[in-house]
Parts: sequence; C-alpha cells; structure tokens
Amino acid sequence: MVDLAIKNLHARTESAEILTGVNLTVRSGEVHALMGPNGSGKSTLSHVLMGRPGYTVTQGEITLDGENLLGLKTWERAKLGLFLVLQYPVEIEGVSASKIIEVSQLSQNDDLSEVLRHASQEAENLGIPQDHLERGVNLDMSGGEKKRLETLQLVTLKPSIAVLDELDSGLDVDGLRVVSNRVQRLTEEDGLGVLVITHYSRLLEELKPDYVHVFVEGKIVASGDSSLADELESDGYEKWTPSTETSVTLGGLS
Amino acid sequence: MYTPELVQELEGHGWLMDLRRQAAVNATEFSYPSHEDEEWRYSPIEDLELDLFTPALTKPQSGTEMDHGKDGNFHNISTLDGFLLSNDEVSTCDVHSASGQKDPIEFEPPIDMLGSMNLAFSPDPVFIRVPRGSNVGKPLVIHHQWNQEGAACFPLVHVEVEENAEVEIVEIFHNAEVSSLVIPETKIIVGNGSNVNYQQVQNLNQDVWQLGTLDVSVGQQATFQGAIAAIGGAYARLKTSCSLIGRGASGKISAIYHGDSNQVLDFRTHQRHIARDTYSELLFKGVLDDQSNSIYTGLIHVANEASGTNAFQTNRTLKLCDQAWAESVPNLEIENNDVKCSHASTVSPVDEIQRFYLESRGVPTFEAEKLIVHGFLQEVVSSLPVEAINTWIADLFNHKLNARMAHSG
Repeated sequence: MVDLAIKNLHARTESAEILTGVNLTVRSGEVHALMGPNGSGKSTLSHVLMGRPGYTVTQGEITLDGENLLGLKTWERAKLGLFLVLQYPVEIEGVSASKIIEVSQLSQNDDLSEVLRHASQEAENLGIPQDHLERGVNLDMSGGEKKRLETLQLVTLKPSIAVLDELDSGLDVDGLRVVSNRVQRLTEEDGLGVLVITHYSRLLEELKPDYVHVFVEGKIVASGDSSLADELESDGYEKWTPSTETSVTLGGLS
Repeated sequence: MYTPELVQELEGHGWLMDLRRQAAVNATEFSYPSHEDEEWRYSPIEDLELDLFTPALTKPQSGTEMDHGKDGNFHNISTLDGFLLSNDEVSTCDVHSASGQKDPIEFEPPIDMLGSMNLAFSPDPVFIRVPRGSNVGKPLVIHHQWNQEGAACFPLVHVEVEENAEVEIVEIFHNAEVSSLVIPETKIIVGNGSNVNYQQVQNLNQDVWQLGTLDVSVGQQATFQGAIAAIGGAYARLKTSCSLIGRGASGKISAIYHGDSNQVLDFRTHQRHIARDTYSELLFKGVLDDQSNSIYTGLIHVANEASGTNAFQTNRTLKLCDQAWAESVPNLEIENNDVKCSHASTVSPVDEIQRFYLESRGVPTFEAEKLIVHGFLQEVVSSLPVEAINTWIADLFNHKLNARMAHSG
C-alpha cells in the first residue's frame, strides 16, 4: 500500500498564491476525482505535485509513501512512483515515446526489450498505430491520439500514483472508453492510485471514482462519493463559490 | 611573412609557380578582412594575427593514422599540412596534385585575400576529375590533417564532375594538439545531369582558427546535396556558396554544429539562383554550450532570369547555457516575381516544459536535455548525404554531448 499525502499545501507563482491549503490522501487502488471551475488551481496542483519549476511551495508537505517530495527534482519524484498526464501533452521533435520509455527505464533493472515489447502490445490494446511510438512524441497527433499515447506511457512506466490532468480532453467517446477502462484496470490489477482532474463527469462514468472532491480557489471545499459528481454535473459549482455564499447570506437577511 | 618570394620554396611547374606568385601579390593588394564588412560582421577576425603563423612549405615525412575511413569502404586521400600524402588508386576518377602537373590547369582567379593566399601557398592543390558518365561508387574521403605547431595551412581541393556522373565526397578536417591556422578552399563543379553528395566534417581541436570556403556550382538538371558537421576550432568559419547555374539545378545544404567553451562557429551562406526552375534548400541547426558563439548570415539571391525558383533557408540554434550567444541573420534578394522563397531563423534555450515533460517520465534532467538536443539535431542527422559515415558523425556529436555530462558532473 502506497499513499500520496498532501497536507496543508500552499503554493504560489511570482504574482499570486494559487494553492491555499490543500489536504488530500490518495492511496493505492483508489480513484479520486478533483473537480472545480476554471482557474481554481487544479492544474497548478498537478504541476506542484510533480515539481514543475515556476511555483514556490510556501507551506505544507507532500509525501509519497512517506518520502518527502518537496525539494526533489521532477524526475526523482517520477522515479519514486509519481506520474503526471499533462492537460496538454508536450510535443518534442526527434524524441519518440519509445525512446522516452527506454531512457526512463535505463537505470531500472527491467529487461528493456521486454519493456518495449510491452509498450508495443499496449499500443495495440489502446488503438495506437505502432509508428506513433517511433516518431517525435505528440507531434502531428490529434488531441485524442496524444492522450492515448500518454496512457501508453502510464501503463508502461508503472507508477504507483498517477495524476491525470484532464485525460478526457481531446478524446472522443470511444477513445475515452478505451483509455479509462485501461486506467480502471490498472487500479484494480496493479493497485494504481489515481487523482483525476476533470471538468466533466463524462470521464467518471467510465473511470469510477471512490472519492470526489470539489476544488475552489486553491483548496478542497467539499468531498464525497461519486454522487457528488452527479450533483456537480446538474447544479454546477455555484453552490461552492464564495460569491454565491455571499448571496445566500444576503438572501437570509432579507 | 606571406611574400611572393616565399612561394619559391614550393614545388611545381612553371605555370603553377607563376599563378602562385601572382596570387601572393594579389593577396597583399586585397583589403584585410574587417568586421565592418558585412561578410565579417560579428566575427572576431580582427583578433587574427597572421604573422603568428608560418606557412607550411616543406613536406612532412609521415602523418599519424586517421581515426576513420581506413577500411575498404572508401577511396582514401590524405593531406598533411596541406601536402598530398597518399591517395588510393581509383579507376573511376582521376585524383592528382596540380604541383606534379606539366600542363596548365585553369583556375578562376580568387576574389579576396584569403582565396589568394590559399592559391599562393597551397603546396598540393588536389584535383579530382570525375569523367562523364562515371559512377565513382565508394565515397572519396579526403582526410586533411596538420601537425605543425604554429603552421598556416592551405588545403585546396578542386572537384570537377563532368556530365551525368555520380560521386560522394567527404572532407574531414582534423589535427594533432597544435595551434594552427587553416585556410581551406574547396571548389566543386557539378556538371549537367550529375549528382554529387558532399559531406564536410570539421573536427579540429580548439586551438585552431579555420577560415574556410566551399564554393559549388550546379549545372542543368544536376543535384548537389551537401552537409557540414562542425564541432571544433577556436574560431571556425565556413563560407558556403551554392550557385545554381543550369536550368533545373538543385542544391541542398545542411549543417549541424555544436560549440562549447569559448568557441565561435561562423557560417556564411549564399544560395545563388542564376538559371530558371532551380531549387535550393538550406537547413542549419546547432547547439551552443558554455560561452560559445555562433554566427549565421545567409543570403538567397534570385537573379532576374531565374523564374520558377524555389528557395528555402532555415537556421535554428539551441542554447544550452545563458552565456551562449547566437547571431542569425537570414536575407533575401529577389529580382524575379515568379519565385517561392522562405527564410526562418530562431535562437532559443532548451524548452523548459519539454524538459519538465521528460522528467515527469522519470528521465533525469541531464538525460532529458540530451534527448532534446539529440532530437533537435535529428532532422539534419537523419538526412546527411553520405550515408556510409552518418553513424560516425552522429557518434562525434554524441561524444561531445556526453563529455558535457561528465564535465557538469
């Protein structure tokens, strides 16, 4: 059992504080959905977890399986078992997904050819043409193709906890089903813990969350089971946003 | 130092000696390069003290073994300090030194000081003639090497490819751990209907100044595919000119370069469209580390008569260090309306988000940068024109990149 524990996490960019006290624990095999309005800081949370330069953690802690992640480089966090699917997968000319997998696994004891065979097999499962593994990663690929390729790397690199930032964006219905079923299987068979960031509950019909969290203004303001996602789907985030709270109070006064 | 009298010490028949003397006189009459001249702009040329170097005028006894190409896959030609040391027998073309030739060879008179010096002091101008209809087969590999401390060397290679012939040529510049000045000139004439693939590898040590010229002319329905791989030199300059003189001629030129420490790598290019329906494509990509500099200035010139021209020019430089500096100036000069031309140039640091992405896959920072650099150069490396030595060139660049890793610890 591995856990990603986030405690009272505050983080900022040069110009503003974005995370204002996040508390969350994601354990092996669990699926947590983080939902919230645009600009609430969901993607920032994913970047801060992975250690992207440009953010400063001012308070709080992040541990993975008891190890403090703060102060570690991004790749060191990845080596400890953390994985991030970026909302917008990055294009890199001349660097193929196969090569990334190869270099990432070089220091591991895994049999490299076995890893690449596995990648090739997974490509077939995920409906990815083999040549997508060999050309510049994400180059000249549709949004959906990119997300499939991200999923392939997730499956091949075998992290213990994965943060999926809008895995659903760009995917069509069929793609969404293929990708989320594969992630679901990883949670069941390999005990992958997942934090999935999304705007819509469409993804969550395929990838069943154990917990749903509402993220507003840089922190979790409510948590519940999957029924919370349905509620958000029908009512939106209005109930949770501060301006709405004000109007509720005013309504009470009148 | 570089006087017409000095020419007497070289060997050659009367016609060549006359030519050399005249060139030495001309050299003194041309103006000395200045960074105020457009073609020397941004360069450190004024730091050059010619008199610190002595022309290499006596033939050395032997050279050290070359590190590449001494197997049966190539026709090898070796020069040492500018002297022709050895050349394999090639039945499909003619290779010889002009200094042993009785009958005069026609030389175009040089148009500047360096060209004149090269002609004056080149001890063995190497002539290669590929006869009409001939296919040379294995690549001709010319190893230029110099071993003398403080020497000024003047390799001169003149290639004439007659009609409907095919040849692959490689020039490799390298040297022992000496400080020297190299002024090489290579001229290639591609005859009508011929195909020439050319690769230059500049792997000098970092105490050498190179002021080189590559001058190509391409005839009707002929193709030239050339590439430059530049790694070494303190200040290493190559001025490349590709003239498309026959209708339907095509010239592609690419380069990869990697500078580090205080190196200055300087490229001047000129794509000259003189005839109709001609095509040129230029792609120069380089990487700069430490405090190294690169200079690229390129001109596409389309003459009034050259309708139907397609001409493209791209220079991209990736900076691995904030202190590295690159100048990139593409230019167009078009005298005809029926043309398709483009030019592009970028100088940028390693993309932070690309590095983050790779790291998020468990790729250590340095490996991530290596992958990005490797991928960046791959576009050129994958299409280098002389396939037989591509792996070797890729290894040279990887070696330099890996050395960086060892260096940065």
